[in-house]
Amino acid sequence: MDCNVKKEDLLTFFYGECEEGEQERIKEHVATCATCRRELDALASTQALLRAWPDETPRLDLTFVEAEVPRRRFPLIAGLAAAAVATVVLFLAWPEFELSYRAGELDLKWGEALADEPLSREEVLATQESTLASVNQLLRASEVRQQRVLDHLLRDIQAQRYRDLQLINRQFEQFDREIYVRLRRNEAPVLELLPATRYTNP
Amino acid sequence: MSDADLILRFRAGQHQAFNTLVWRWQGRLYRFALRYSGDSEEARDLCQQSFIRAYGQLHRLRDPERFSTWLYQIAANLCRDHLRQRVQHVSLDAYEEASGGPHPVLYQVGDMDKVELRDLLNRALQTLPEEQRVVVVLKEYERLKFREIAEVLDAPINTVKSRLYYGLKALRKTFNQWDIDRDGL
Repeated sequence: MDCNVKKEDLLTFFYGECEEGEQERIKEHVATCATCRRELDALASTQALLRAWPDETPRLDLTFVEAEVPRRRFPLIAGLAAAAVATVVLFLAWPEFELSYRAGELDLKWGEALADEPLSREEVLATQESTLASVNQLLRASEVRQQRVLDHLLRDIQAQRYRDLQLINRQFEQFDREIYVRLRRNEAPVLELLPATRYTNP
Repeated sequence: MSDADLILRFRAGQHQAFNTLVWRWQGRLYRFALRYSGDSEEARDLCQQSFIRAYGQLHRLRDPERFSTWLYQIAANLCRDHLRQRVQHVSLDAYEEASGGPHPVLYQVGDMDKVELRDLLNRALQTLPEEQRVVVVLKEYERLKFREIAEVLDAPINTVKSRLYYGLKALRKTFNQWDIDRDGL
C-alpha cells in the first residue's frame, strides 16, 4: 500500500477489531485514500467468495461410552463363584474334552471318542461360510487400498505428462525463434545485393 | 448450559457431559479439519482424534472458559502433524494452476451447485501454504478473533494478521486467474 496505514491495521479495521479510537481514525483516513478503499473492496470481494462455501452438517454421531465395572457386594461368595467358573472353563478348554447339548440330552466326550466324532455337515458348511466371508472382507479392504494408491499414481503421471508436454512446446518455440533469427541473418546479405544486380542487368 | 459448566460436571464425575460437548462441537471441528486438510475422510478421522485427545487431556485445561480455543488448538496441531506425514505428491491443483485454471470459462458462482462451489473453493484454499490456510480458515469460517487465533496457533498477533493478509491476497489472485466471478451471490 502506498499510504502510511499498515496492512495489519487495515485488516483489523476491516474485521472491526480495532482498539478504541483507532476505528474512527482509520475510517477518516479511508474516506480520503483511494488505495485503502481499493484494498478494502478487494478484501470484501474475496471474503464474499470464500463465505459462499455452504456449511455442511456431517453425520458423525460420535459418542463416548464408558463401560461401568459392577461393584462386588459379597467378595467371598463372588470369589468362590469365580473360582468355580474358572475351573469349569479350564476343564472345557482342555483340547480333548467336549461338552454339548443335543436333542434334549447332555453329551460329554473326551480323548479318543472326541477324535473319532466327525463334524456334522452343517458345522462344516457354517465354518466354510464364515471363513469365506472373512477372506472376502480382507480382499475388499485390500482392493480399496490398492485403488487409492493407483488413483494417486495416475494423478502424478498425468501431471508429469503435462509438464513434459509444456517443456517440449517451449523447446519447439525456442527452436523456431532461433531458426527465424538465423534465416533473417542469412537473408540480409542477399537482400542487400538484389538492388545492385537489378541495375547491372542490361 | 455453557461449555465451562459441562466441563465442571465432567470433572465432578458426570462423564456423559463430555458427549454433550462432542455433539455440540463435532460439526464445527469437522468443517475446520475439512477446510484445513481438503479431504472429507481425513477430516472425519482428525475430528475423532481431536475429541479422543481432548477427552484424555481435559483435566489439564486450567480455564474451562477457554475450551473452544483449546479444542481448536488440539485440532490444528493434529491437522498439521497429519499433513506433514501425508505422502507428498503433485496435486491436480498445481496441474490446473499451471494451465491457467481448471476450465477456460468464466465461473459464475451463482450458477454453481453446492458441491461444485465447495470443491472449487476447497481447491483454491489448498493452493495456499499451510500457515496461511489455517489462519484464513480460522478467521473466515470459524470467525475467531485475531487474539484467539494467535492463542490457537501460539503465534504473535501481528504474524497472524500478516499471514491472513497474504493468504487473502493469494486467494484473490487465484480467483482472478481462474476467472471466478462472484456475481449471482
